[in-house]
Amino acid sequence: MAEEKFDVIIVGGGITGCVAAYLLAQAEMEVLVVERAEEAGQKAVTGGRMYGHAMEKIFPGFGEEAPVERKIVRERISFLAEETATTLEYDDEEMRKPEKASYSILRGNLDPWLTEKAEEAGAMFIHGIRVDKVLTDDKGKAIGVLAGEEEMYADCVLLADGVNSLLAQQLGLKKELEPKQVAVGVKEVIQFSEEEINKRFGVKDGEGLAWLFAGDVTNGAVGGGFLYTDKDCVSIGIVETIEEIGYGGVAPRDMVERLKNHPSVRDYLTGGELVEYSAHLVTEGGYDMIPQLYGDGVIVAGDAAALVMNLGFTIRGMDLCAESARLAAETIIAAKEKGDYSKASLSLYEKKLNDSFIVKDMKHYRKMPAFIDNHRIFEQYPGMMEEIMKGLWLVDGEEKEKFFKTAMGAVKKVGIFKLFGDVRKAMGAL
Amino acid sequence: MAMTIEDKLGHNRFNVDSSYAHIHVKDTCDDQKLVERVIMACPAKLYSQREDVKDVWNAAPAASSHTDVLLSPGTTPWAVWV
Ligand SMILES: Cc1cc2nc3c(=O)[nH]c(=O)nc-3n(C[C@H](O)[C@H](O)[C@H](O)COP(=O)(O)OP(=O)(O)OC[C@H]3O[C@@H](n4cnc5c(N)ncnc54)[C@H](O)[C@@H]3O)c2cc1C
Ligand code: SF4
Repeated sequence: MAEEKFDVIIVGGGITGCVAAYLLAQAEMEVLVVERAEEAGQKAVTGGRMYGHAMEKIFPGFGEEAPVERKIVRERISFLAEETATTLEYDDEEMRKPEKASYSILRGNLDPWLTEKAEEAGAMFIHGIRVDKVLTDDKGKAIGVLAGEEEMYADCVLLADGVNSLLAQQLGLKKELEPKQVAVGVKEVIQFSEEEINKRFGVKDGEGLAWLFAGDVTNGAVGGGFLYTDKDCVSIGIVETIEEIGYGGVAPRDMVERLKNHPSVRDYLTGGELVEYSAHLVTEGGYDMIPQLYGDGVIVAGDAAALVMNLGFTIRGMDLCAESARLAAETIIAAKEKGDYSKASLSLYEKKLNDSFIVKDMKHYRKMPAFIDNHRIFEQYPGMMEEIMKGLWLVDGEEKEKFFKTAMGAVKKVGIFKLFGDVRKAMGAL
Repeated sequence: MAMTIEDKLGHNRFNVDSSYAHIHVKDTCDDQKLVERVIMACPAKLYSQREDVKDVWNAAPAASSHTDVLLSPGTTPWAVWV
């Protein structure tokens, strides 16, 4: 029986796969998306706050129409010692502007909406099937995929199969991930009511908070915590670099409990009900981890292409994956017009990525992974800040030491030269 | 009171297709440090060490984090289906 041949087969129906499918179908291409989860969003995990700019380009009015949870209007970052938190908070009216807005999202809500958009545009989805292999011809050009016993054919294959893209590895486009380049994320979703979220976090309807943590949460290991307010729930979790597992002696799954029970967090969460528990890998390697992005008849996009920036003060993956999907779709549309899906033709994708904010920003923050890979940030600085803050604000009627002396004492414990060295490195990385 | 991982897994929205067993135990592992790290790493707490053999085994459903694959690339004493 002659097999049906598609213009494009997309492996993975996450944000990258859905956005590309939507744009390709809009351009009247025959698109098939193969997703291993039984339902859209079922295997997807994010923190998550999505910067809206890339989606607004693709779906004008995204912030109003899409099932986003809350617009983030407040940033908070806390350095945790065992019982204290030194916190920086930032409010900005500009965060309310559509072009600068970011949103908390739940993938269980967003991915089905994206799938529907792509289906309405004409893309076809198969859920519940895992692609095992990219099929190639005798010259090595991708010609389709193998899923179980079934072969499906296409002019071009788009790999949007996420951080651990085994298919890109099979094709020799990507190296096996190294424990230093990847973190494990463990996340819980805890439900309240919308009013309760507003009250506890001091936010209005539709508006919310992004809160990141470093220090005690990982017990000094390289990693951190996050909390995002969703409509009627809270997404809370941790990430720990895989190489660090064991350092500090706390298992990643227990770090979530540690964060939830920290004095600066626990009162926000009392009485909530756990409604979701999930875990996933997060790419952390930055610019130097970007693999070969295309081959004969194949393109790699989104997390599969390691397009994620973990900057410590924020994490950006979803806006990068949406934009990379758009650029991949443009490249494939151009290739169809030329009737040429060769490696040379698809190299346009790399040019487009290089000209985009993705590669420019990732290059900009290229030194960030090396800067973050420093135990002092997680082990010593939160304690140093605690000591300094105690010197400023704790009064018990006993004679107070001169603040300068207290502060210098705290700094000396870390080492003045080490501190200056780290500040210099931070400047370089930023 | 803190919930156990078993309770939490009840709220795991990932479905695990039983036709693809999540983990296959291939062999025993002599690297005790590695075994300990994998036991610690798994968000679903699926690994445990038997007293008699240096061996790890699983119980579905997992959270599909793929952490274990990365901790023991190449020389993995078990194979994980992702
Ligand atoms: C804990 C955590 C916190 C994060 N926080 C943030 C944040 O706050 N902000 C942000 O912007 N980003 C964040 N990220 C990163 C962000 O989630 C990713 O960049 C984004 O999800 C990538 O989308 P994707 O579509 O490329 O990949 P995925 O969402 O991983 O989608 C890949 C899809 O491919 C499917 N698949 C995989 N293999 C196969 C196969 N062989 N056959 C068929 N289907 C397959 C999977 O089931 C999945 O649905 C976070 C990530 C994690 C894990
Ligand atoms: S994939 Fe993740 S959750 Fe599943 S067994 Fe491995 S470490 Fe545990």
